[in-house]
This record gives sequence, C-alpha cells and structure tokens, in this order.
Amino acid sequence: MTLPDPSSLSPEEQALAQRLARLGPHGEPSPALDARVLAAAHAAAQAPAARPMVHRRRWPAVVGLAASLVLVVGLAWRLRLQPEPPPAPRQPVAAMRATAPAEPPVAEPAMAAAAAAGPEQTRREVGIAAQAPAAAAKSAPGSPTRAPAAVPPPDARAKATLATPKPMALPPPEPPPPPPEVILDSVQHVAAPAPPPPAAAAREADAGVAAAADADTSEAGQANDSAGMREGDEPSDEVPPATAESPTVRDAWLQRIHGLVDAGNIAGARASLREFVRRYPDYPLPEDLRALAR
Amino acid sequence: MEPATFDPTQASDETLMLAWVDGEVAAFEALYGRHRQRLYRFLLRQLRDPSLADECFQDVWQRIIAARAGWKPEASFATWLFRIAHNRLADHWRARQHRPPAPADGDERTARIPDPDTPERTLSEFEQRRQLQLALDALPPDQREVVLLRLEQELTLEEIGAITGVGRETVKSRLRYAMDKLRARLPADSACD
Repeated sequence: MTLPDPSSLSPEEQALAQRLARLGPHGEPSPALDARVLAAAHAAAQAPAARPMVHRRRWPAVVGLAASLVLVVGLAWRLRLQPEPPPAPRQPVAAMRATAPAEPPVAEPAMAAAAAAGPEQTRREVGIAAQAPAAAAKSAPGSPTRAPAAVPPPDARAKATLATPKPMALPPPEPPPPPPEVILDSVQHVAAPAPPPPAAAAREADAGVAAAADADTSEAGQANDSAGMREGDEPSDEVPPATAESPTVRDAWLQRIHGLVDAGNIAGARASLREFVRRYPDYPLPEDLRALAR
Repeated sequence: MEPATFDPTQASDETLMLAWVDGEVAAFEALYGRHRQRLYRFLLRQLRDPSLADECFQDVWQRIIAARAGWKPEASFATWLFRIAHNRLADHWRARQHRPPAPADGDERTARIPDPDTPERTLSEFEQRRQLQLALDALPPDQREVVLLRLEQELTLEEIGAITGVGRETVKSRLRYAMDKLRARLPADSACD
C-alpha cells in the first residue's frame, strides 16, 4: 500500500474522517523529534546491518556425537571384558581310546586266551581285555563312549598281556575257567559293580563288543589313530581279533580247547568246550571235539 | 554511497523499505515523510498526551530501524508500521495498568491558546472537538482504535485486522458499532452542510 486511497471509505466514513481531520488534533512531530528519528536511521545505515541470528539447532549434532562416543566406549568395554573362548574340551583319553577298534574286540579272544592260559594270566588278560565291552554293556549298550572310561590304553593292555608270559607248558589240572564276570571283578579297572550271570555276562559282553564294533565303524580311522591300534596290525595269539563273531575268534578258541586236550586237561577242555557250545550253539564242532562235548 | 536507483516519489512503500534494508537512507527518509504525520496523530489520539505521543512515536520508528535487517515484504509497510504502533501502545497500557483518564480541562486549556481565528469560530471548533473527543472516549478501546485506523489512516479492514491481530469480520463488526455510536453522539456537522 502506498498512499491511502480516499475512495476506499464510504461516504459516511469520508464525512466523519473529514470531521476528524478538521477538528484535530492537528499535531505533528516536532522538528526535534524528526531530527532524532532521522539521526537514528543514519547511524543504523552506517553500521552494518545485523543479520538475524539463525539459531541453528546444534543439539542434534551434539547428541549424535555423544551417542557415537557412548557406542564406541561401550563396544571397547565389551571387547575388553569379553572372556576368552573356552578351550576345546578335551575328550578323555580313555574315551578316545575306547573308540579304538582294538578295545572292543578283546572280549572273546580274551576269554579264549583266559581259557588257554593260566589262572592269573588269564584273569589279568581277560579282565583287561573284557573290561571294555563289559563296561560298555554295563553302562549303556550302544554308547561306547561312556563305557571305556576305565579301559586302560591298549598299550597298557598289551604290556599287561605281554608282561606275563604265557608258557604253553602243561599246566596242572585246574578248575574250569571262571566266568567272565568273575574275571572282571578281579580286574582293577573293571567298571561293573556286580557280576552278572554267566550267560548274561556273555551276552552283555557280546553286546558290548558289538556296540564297540559299531562305534569303531562309525569312528573308523580317527579312533584307530587315537587309540594307537592300527588296522593293519598283526594281532598276536594273545590278542583277540576285532569281533567276537569273527571266525578267527572261534578258531582260536577251539585251538585252545585242543591245546587243553593235548595237555591232558580233559576237564578244562570239556568245560571250555561246553562254554564254546553255549556261546556258539550253531557252530559245527570238529569231530574230535564232539565226543568231548557229549 | 551509490546513488539511489529508485524514485522516492514514485516507489511503493515496500520498494523503499527494501532499499532501506540495503542501506539507502534516502529510502527511509521518504518512508518517514509519508507516514510520520499519520502515525503521530494516531498515537496522539490514543494517548491524548503529546509527550507520551512523542515517546511512543520515536520508539515505533526505532523499532522500524532496528528491524530492517529481518524485514520481509509479507505485509504492507503501513500495516507493519501500525502493528508496531499497536504493540507499543499495548505495552504502554500494560505498564500503566489503566488508560489515563482524559484531562478534564485539557481541551479547555488548548482552547485558551490565542488563536488568530475569530472567537466564535474558536468556540465552535472547541465545542465540536470536545464533542468528538467525548464521543471517541465513550467508545471501547478496541472500537476506538479500529475507527481511528479506518478514518484517519484510511486502512482497509484486512490491514486493520493485521495490525490488531483479529479477523476481518471482527474489525468490520467493531467498526460498525463504533460508527453507530459516533453517529448517535455527534450532531450533524453544520460545517459540512
């Protein structure tokens, strides 16, 4: 709007406006007042025009910076306090050795060795050899990792076996070989608390040996390496073959029986044969042993 | 100083104000010359005290000068000017907590001032002025302000609304009420006949 337009007023308004203008007040700013106002304007024009302060919001940047610092400090603190990862749990040596193929198959050949060897020797060998499947059978059939907790290393077993030389001389007549459970009880590392019945013990041993065989199958190679027994190792006569069902085991047992017969230990041979028949009822006996079995 | 690139006599109030923002003192002088009398009379009509009117008048222009850096042509210069005056008056009334009563013999004292006019004319003018003043005093402050801005400053209803902070219809209503009351109190102007 530049200059007021009188035509914008209605006639009545114009009349009253003229009346007001005519009747006053007719005051005007004094010259001194005009001078003061104009002087202020000149002074303001001389000074640079003060730009209006733009209140930039700085708080978002400050808050962001503070949050970043808190985040960095928190991460550094957590990394500092973060515990070291726990070391890889060591498998018990016994557990690793238990998965070795050599451990399970000691049941039958060990019994055969016990039948053929002397009492002490037999007891030691069979006990040591049978503790693996027996322990496995006692603890949990099919869980060979638990059973062999007390199984001595095969080297120890071999040493124990070899430590007592087993002469093939004719031993004096001796009572029939004790059932496996009795042998197990006399062994130091036997885990089974109570000896089961002979048949049950035999079955448990079989189950344990089978379970151990299964474990061996599942962990073949790795268990073998860890246990120290190699598949290509030549088992001695005192060391049973891999499984109780192996023909080698039965043959060795029969061979032991023949040895007892040749040595004149008919009673022992008969008892062992009886046990053999009980274990392998379907196995055809040699003709020379059939009469002994009757 | 660079020569003014505008014609003070032809430029609009907004153009002069923008030039003043850029530092042109001549533009401000032109604006001041256009609006000084209107503003002063408006303040004098409201305050009825020359000294107070001078004080408010100078304060209003000081605010105009100080606000030049941030001034934006969002409204007309006249609206902006009288809005500042309105706010200054509100500050004055707020500080005073009341509107000073009209001096009982103020007009009479003014009338005693030697006047070259004839006594009859002086008395008539005094009487008419008194009647007009009494009629304006009888108006509510908001109606009085509206009627003065309308009649003396010849501002539009929208501009008056922008100055007083109310809507156009409110301004129109106040103006209608004020005119009705003035028409009822003021006798016919024999001088206009």
